[in-house]
Parts: sequence; C-alpha cells; structure tokens
Amino acid sequence: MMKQDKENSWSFDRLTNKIANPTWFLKWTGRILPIFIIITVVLFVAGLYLGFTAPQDYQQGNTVRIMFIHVPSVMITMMAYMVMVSSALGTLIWRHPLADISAKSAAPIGAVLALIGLITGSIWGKPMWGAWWVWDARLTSFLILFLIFIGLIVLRFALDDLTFAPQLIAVLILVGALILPIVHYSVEWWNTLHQPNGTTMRTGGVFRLPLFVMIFAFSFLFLSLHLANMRNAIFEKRINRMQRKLAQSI
Amino acid sequence: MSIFETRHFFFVASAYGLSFLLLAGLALWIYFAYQSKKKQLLRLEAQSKQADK
Repeated sequence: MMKQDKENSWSFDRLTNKIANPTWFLKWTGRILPIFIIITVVLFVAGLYLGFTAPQDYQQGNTVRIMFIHVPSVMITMMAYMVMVSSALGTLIWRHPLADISAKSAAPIGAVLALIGLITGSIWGKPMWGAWWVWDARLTSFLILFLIFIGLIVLRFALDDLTFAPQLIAVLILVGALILPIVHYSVEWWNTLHQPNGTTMRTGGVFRLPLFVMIFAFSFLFLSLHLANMRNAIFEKRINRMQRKLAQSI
Repeated sequence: MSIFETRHFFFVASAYGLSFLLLAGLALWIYFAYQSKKKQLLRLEAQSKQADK
C-alpha cells in the first residue's frame, strides 16, 4: 500500500512538473485550443438557435431570452474568480510557475463576463422591474465582484515589476474571495428584488435546454480565452527576459 | 408572435448585441496581442542570435 502511494505521488509530481513547464504548456495548448474554439462556436450556434426558437415566457415575454446570456455570464464570472482563487493557492502553496500566469490571464476575462452580467441584468430589469438598477443585495454584491476584478487588473499593472507582486496579488485574490458566498447567498440572506437562485431552471423544462447549452458555451469560451491569454502571458515573460538579456549584452 | 413584433425587441437585441460586442472585443484583443507578441519574440530571437555571433 505504501509502495503504491509512493508510486502515485511520484506520478502526480511528474505530471505537475510537466504542466509547470511553459514550453510543454505552449505545445499542448497549441494543439488543444483549435478544438476548444470549434466546440465553443458549435455550442454558441446551438444555444442561440435553441434560445431564439424557445417559446415566450407567459410573464416575461421575449425578455426571458436575455436569461440565456445573463445566467451563464454570471455563473462563469464566479467560475473565473474560483480559477483565480485556485491559481492564488498554487502561487502561495506550491509556487507553481504557471499559477500566477493563470490568475493574471483570468482577470480580464472575468471582468468582461461580469460586465456582461451587469449590462444584461440591467437591460432585463427595465421592462420587468421598471428600473435599470436597484441597490439590491445581489446586484450590489455582484458590482463589488466586478470592481474587485478591475482592482486586481489595475494592481497588476502597477506592481508587475516587483518580485513579490505574484504573492501580494495572490493574497488579495484570496481576501476578495469572501465576496463569492455573499454574491451566491445574497438572495437568501436578504430580502431582494432579484429572484432566488435557479429560478430560470425551475420555470419550465422548455428553457432548461437552451440555458444548459449556453452555460456550456460560456464555459468553453472561458476555457479557450483563458488558455489563449495564458499563452500571451508566457510570450510576454519570454519577451521581457530576452530584452533584459539583450540589454546586458550591449 | 415573432420577436420582431414585440415591444421587448429593443431590450433583447441590445442585450445580445452588447454582450457579443464585448466578447468579440475581448477575443480580438487576445488574438492581436498574440500576433504582436509572437512577432516581437521572433524579432528578439533573431537579434539575440546576431548578438551571439
């Protein structure tokens, strides 16, 4: 049993070491990325077709179709932040070379998805609630999450030259993670105008399929953009290293 | 009733339009960043080889 454990840990170490190698990462993402992009496009086409051929909701009318982009964008925003949290743990605990690159690359994607969540929610709110914006617990906590993404991006630009920047930003990501349960449970902890979690799922079977397909489409979109942005960050590191090397040789 | 015949058309169209505009912008930003970084890296590698000679 002990021997088997040792063998397993050895293979796990070997795998993480291999993944930690940026050259190997660039090689396998170069192969896998076109497949992910094709899957994303297919899922978006299917999701949009299903979303626009679904019947109207008896209360919301056609605005129910906004839910097919609002719900997935909000869900994947939360997932993007969780990816940043696991990357921050990777930076602080395992000092994985790609962990900081992963956190850095996920932030702009998370910010754009959060912005889409805010915009689509606001556009849905006007015909349904009669207001573009209310200072409701869910809306306000999600706005704070968006501002945390922006803050982390700005901080990255300001501190990127410092050697301890990855560790500092990782700590801030972990502190910011406190907003995730607040966003999720805000509709249960406070009386909110926003509907409870999973309302669209419960509304009727006819809306479930387009919603699921769009959730998968947004997941693959995030995965594709994240890997592509990580490749860019690795190139950027190499460019900086090479520029330093050239400056020293002159 | 078609979506074009409803008063909600403006809301649905602007939600989808703005979302896909933002997503396309993000994807293009990542793509053009990749192209420029790749070119820059190749140029620096060539410069570095020349400097080594």
